[in-house]
Amino acid sequence: MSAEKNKSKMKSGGLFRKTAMTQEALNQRFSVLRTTLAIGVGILLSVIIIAFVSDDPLLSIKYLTVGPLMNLNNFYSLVTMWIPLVITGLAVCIMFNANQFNLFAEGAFFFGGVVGTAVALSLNLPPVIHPIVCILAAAVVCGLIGAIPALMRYKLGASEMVASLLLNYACLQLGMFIISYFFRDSDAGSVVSAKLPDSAKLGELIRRSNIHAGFFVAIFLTVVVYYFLFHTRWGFEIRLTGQNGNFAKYVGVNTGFVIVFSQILGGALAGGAGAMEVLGTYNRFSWTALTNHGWDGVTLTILANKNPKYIPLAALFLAYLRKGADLMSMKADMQTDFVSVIQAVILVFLLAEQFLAGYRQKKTYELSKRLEEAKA
Amino acid sequence: MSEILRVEHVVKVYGNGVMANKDINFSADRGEIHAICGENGAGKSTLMKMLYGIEQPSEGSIYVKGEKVELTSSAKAIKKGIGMVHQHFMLVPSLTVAENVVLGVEPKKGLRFHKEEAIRMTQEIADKYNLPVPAEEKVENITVGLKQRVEIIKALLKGAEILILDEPTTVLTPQETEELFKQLKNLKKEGHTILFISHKLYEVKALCDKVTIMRSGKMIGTRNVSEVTEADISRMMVGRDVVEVIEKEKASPGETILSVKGLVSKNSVGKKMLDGVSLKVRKGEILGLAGVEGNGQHDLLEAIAGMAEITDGKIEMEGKDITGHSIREIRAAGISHIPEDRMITGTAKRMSIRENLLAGRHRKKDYTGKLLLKQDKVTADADELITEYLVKCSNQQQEVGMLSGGNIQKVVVAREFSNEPHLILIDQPTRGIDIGAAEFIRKRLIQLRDEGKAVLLNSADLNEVLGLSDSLAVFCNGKIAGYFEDASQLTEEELGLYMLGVKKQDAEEIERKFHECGEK
Amino acid sequence: MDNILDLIFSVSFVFSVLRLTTPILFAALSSVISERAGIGNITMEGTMLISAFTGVVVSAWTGSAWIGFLAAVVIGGLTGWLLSYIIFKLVVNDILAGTAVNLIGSGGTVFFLFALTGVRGISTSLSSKVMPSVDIPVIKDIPILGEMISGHNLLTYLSFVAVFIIWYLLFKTSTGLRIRAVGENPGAAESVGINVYKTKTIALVIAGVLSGIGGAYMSMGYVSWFVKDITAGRGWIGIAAAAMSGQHPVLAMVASILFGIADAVANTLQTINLPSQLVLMIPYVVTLLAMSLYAYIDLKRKKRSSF
Repeated sequence: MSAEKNKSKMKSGGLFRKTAMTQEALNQRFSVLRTTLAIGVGILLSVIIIAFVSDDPLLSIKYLTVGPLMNLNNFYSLVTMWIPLVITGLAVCIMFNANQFNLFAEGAFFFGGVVGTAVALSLNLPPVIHPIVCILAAAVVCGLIGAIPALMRYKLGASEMVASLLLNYACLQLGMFIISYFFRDSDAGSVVSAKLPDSAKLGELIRRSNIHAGFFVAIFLTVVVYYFLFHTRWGFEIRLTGQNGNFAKYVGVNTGFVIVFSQILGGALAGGAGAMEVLGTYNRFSWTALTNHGWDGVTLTILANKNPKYIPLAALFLAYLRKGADLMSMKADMQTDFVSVIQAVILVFLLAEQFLAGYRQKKTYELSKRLEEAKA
Repeated sequence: MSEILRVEHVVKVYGNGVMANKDINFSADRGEIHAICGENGAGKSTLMKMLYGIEQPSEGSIYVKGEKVELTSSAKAIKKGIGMVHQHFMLVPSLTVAENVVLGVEPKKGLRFHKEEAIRMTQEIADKYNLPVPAEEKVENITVGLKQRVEIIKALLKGAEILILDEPTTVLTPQETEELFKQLKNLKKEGHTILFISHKLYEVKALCDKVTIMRSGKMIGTRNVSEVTEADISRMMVGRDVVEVIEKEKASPGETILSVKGLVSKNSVGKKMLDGVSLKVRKGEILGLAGVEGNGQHDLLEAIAGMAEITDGKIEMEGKDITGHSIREIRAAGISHIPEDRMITGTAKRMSIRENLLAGRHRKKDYTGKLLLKQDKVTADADELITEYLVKCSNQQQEVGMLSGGNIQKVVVAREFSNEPHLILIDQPTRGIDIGAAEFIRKRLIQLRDEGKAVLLNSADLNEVLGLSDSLAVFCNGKIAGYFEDASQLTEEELGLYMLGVKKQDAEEIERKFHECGEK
Repeated sequence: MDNILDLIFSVSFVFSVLRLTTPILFAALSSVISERAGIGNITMEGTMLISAFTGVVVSAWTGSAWIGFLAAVVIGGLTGWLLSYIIFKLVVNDILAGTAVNLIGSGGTVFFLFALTGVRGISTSLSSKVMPSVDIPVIKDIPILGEMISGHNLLTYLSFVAVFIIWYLLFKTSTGLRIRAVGENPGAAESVGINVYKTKTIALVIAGVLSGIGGAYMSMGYVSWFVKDITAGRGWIGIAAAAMSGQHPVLAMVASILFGIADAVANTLQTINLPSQLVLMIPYVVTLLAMSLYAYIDLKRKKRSSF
């Protein structure tokens, strides 16, 4: 009797499980399909462009596809490019998870570099401690600046997006001022800082490569941010607020604090990444414009579907594409900048809710019909 | 008088399978003010939406001036001479009155927008129907009553002969209401037909010629207003087609757990929703809140839960003052809350069932260590709740948005019931969900009551509120119109009279009754 | 100090203010009309780059500045249409759609410059044309004033005419009325039979045309070549100027001139070795403060009117 009951229970549960799973599987398959197609379209487009433009398309494609792996130096610089991309990707990822369109990561990266340089040149500290202090200082300063658009949104209802854009340019000018009036190397022809002391630099991990300790920091931060967002109560509150602010409030989350806090974190991460980039790969501060890392962070966040776990992979893809394009431009007759076009096309395809919507609807309809039949 | 509008055998089934209108037959004559009465959910708005081309009937036909019409858009309805004044005004605040009036049919003079002509057109209608408006003032600077007048002029300018007004007086002051009635009577004299949607019976009596009553999607009947009393209308409006019996033992209430005194609150747009409400809830009882929607029942629950602005009064939970406390503190005081709308407030639809169950208790020691969430515990509890509450899903990782309405509501209920609450605030517990899930939720609620929890229930479903409640407070106009210690003694008819403001207990009597039962 | 004042209160200073204001003003007007239609359009930078590039290439190819200019304007309008398509037909968030367009602007231009002409980064090897400078009769003969406001590039004058045109369009025509209506309350517009998508597309195409002219000015007036990132953030500054103006074309002109002055002061200070960056920073900081104040007043007003 009880065995029979169990059996029938299992049966109904089993049937239901199967049908529901199909629907979930459909969604997952759809998301994979969409990402693959978007990237596929991007790559296809690259090949077409190269075929049309390049005098030697095969050579160009060769450099684009396997160039970064052709020799160690290429590979090293691929990794060096990857490091800051990962961290700014994580910074944007946190803010977008709270549903905040704060684009200050761009300015924070630059200004972080400035603060890092300033601290490196002002303080005299032993190695290891010196760069850590520089990077932390950059993170703190940029985190605090990142709170400005957040507070403007939370307290006044102003657009955090416009505010953060303005802040980017204010930070660019302020940064250029700090470098050229306090830390400029007057012997140099252009506006660059004095040489950074060796004690402040991040050591190279591999001799004669640019790969610095930031490599481990990037991996470490990926793990930390992933755990933070998905395994701590604070990260949970950030995601709750981002997904449905009303719901978050209703279960007792202080959403105002969460909004501000997430943007402070984002600013701090991007700022720290900027400082690390300067201390890790340059001998002196030499940026004269914003570096685009913040905007890349936006692309990466979209590519990773707002999950920090996938940021390193997305960053690897973008860095690979960039490095390949660099090589292509050096060795074959191609220009690197077409990567941005590819990036834009992939973005649009990934974001377009209507892309494949027809296909999805058809499949969902077929599925629900099958379910109806199964029920009957 | 000649017939101008006729609706024949209209049926409306929404995409989700809900049948909102069942075989509606109805007609209106030229030059009459015709009230459409019915509780929320009776199908009035669906019918009006079909008349204004926002929704299309699944079956049946609509005739305007004897001609069969297909109203597939608002533009078509406007062309056929139907105009609508929505409850939420469709106006552009930074444009002037005249600009709003002519929007869509702007007069031009060469390239230019002919402002003077727009003002003239507005003024012409305003003069003709005696509806004075400041044509050159920006809409954001005028009063609500004037905004409504602008909406009426807008419809008239586009040639509306049939004017639908959706609960027009809810936003008006008594003086403005009086003014509006004068104007509507004037329009009637000019030969316009007005469909007046309301559940304020004294307004229907004061203004309308005929009244059509709807109940749960069906047409109950049309009467001449002069031939019926308010009590008659109320009887037709409030009632059950089938009386569902909800089985439960008689309650044995204990001591008072929540006491509310003279509560006044405002909703998110600053409108006063509660106007001095006092009540007491005891352990082991379900206190039901009945009333036509929008009369304060929902707002009382929101105010207690910490989600509305309280301007006066006091809320005490187990002897502790919790007035104006944060939602987190109120929850910590042992209050659970099932909100009215499970999709807007009750869940995050793109998050998993598991995380939706975790929300709100994620700070408790059981669920989080110093740093990390105790995922094993979260998983185990989620599985347990899914089993206990029979949530049909593939697994706890499934997105809540992919579940059926009934299962989503079960997720909300599971979360709130399992918080070890002393008091449960439950708002429309079974709205729009399947019978199986509804029955399940009601049974759990009774079970919790039997365990000695206090429940404050708001439901627009008469079967539910009469069947579940042990005692009942009836709301009208932000106040308690009547309190009945034993809900089973109350007839539907009696309830209707209190809900619609025909009958009323005096405030002292209500307070005395609450006081008495608190003492027991 | 006298030295600085002399430089600032000079005839050539005013001349350079107008010259520097032009591209910012076009971008600001572009932002104003987008915001009025209720769209967060951040593509000014990208669109300006695309048009600047197109103008140079087409004018070099055809040998005519006018055809080049026309091409720049058309491509600007097309970019606006593309943005509208991405936002409303493919259903993409407006900021992210704008990011994609900007990426095409910054990378695509450099790439196609090389693909079409074989030169990298800068187009000086192309014999592209510039739009003519214009002497205004009568005014040009007035001392000082004539030197300040006569002899500018045609597009500089056009930018100030555009302020009037956009003002007229927004506030005096029925199209403008509809644009403002869909921006503020799309539901209300739709309920009276206005096609919201069409109206928003019109606004974005006009915005694209304005950015397009701004871009053409950069490469066919301000300088006579195209170089990578020639706009140098002027599109963003335009957005800032529009935000500061509360989305009003005339006030946006005032804000743009302020940015132009800051630019010119910074240039002047650079020549005498003073911290120009701080001067360049001022407009952004002022805008942030102005934005906060504006939002604060708006918040107060909303609170008051809700009772």
